[in-house]
Amino acid sequence: MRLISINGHHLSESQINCLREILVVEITSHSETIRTKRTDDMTVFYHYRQMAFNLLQLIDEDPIAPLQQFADPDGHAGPDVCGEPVVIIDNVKVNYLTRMETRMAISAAGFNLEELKKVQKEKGFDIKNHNDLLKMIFEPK
Amino acid sequence: MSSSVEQKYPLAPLVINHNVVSEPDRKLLQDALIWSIKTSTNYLHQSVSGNKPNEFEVFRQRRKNAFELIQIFDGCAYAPYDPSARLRNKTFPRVAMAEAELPMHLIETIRAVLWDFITVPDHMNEETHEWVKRLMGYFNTEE
Repeated sequence: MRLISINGHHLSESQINCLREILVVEITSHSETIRTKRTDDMTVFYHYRQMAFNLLQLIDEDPIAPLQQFADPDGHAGPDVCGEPVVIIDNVKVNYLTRMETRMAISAAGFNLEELKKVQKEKGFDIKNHNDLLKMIFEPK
Repeated sequence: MSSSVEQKYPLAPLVINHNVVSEPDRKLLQDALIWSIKTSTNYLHQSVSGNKPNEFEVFRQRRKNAFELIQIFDGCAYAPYDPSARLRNKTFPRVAMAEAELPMHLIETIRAVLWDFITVPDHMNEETHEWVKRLMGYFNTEE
């Protein structure tokens, strides 16, 4: 069985599945925004959609995921993770994940909330609130 | 949305094989690719929870390709392919976008996605069949 640990928090299969769903919702909603809306900074939506997809690839152990895009501005990349059978997203990437969390939290609390609730209901997650999950995994242990 | 923003950030037309993709078709194309990402993700989740079947790599690659196509169609990433490649390789596909050519593996992906989409029981209706057939037409590689 695989182990996924984010910021020192080990995720259960149910939590991983919930995270997957959140990321797919992120990709979907950002794609809709990019296609239909013009804003002063569309690159934000491109950027977060790309990050959501990268994270999705990473938790599914994709060895060809562009892990260098996880690098923070200081150049802390994740090539040490690439190809390993056990995916560990460790505190090296806490800065990246903090930024990710910011966007995800805003998104989840806003227009994605109803969609996420619907998905959680359909999938029967045992997680009461996806915000609890996000809060837990993105806060350093 | 203000007109100034629209002027500042105009929505670039999506042109495939010299055909301007209509806005409704553009949405359908994106919907189909998002659907592929969702279904591939569900499949990968089931796979990593148990034994990995042979199709695991297929779906993982398909999800990656589907996302790349979404990015290209949104205009945020031109296909990073050498435009002169076709001159060196006679078999290089001729599905051309406004400023790039789609490589064969992405063309195969979009065809597979559309084909899979239409074979889902819930999608088997005349209307869906019609637009899938229409979208397939954009990716004709014949001269």
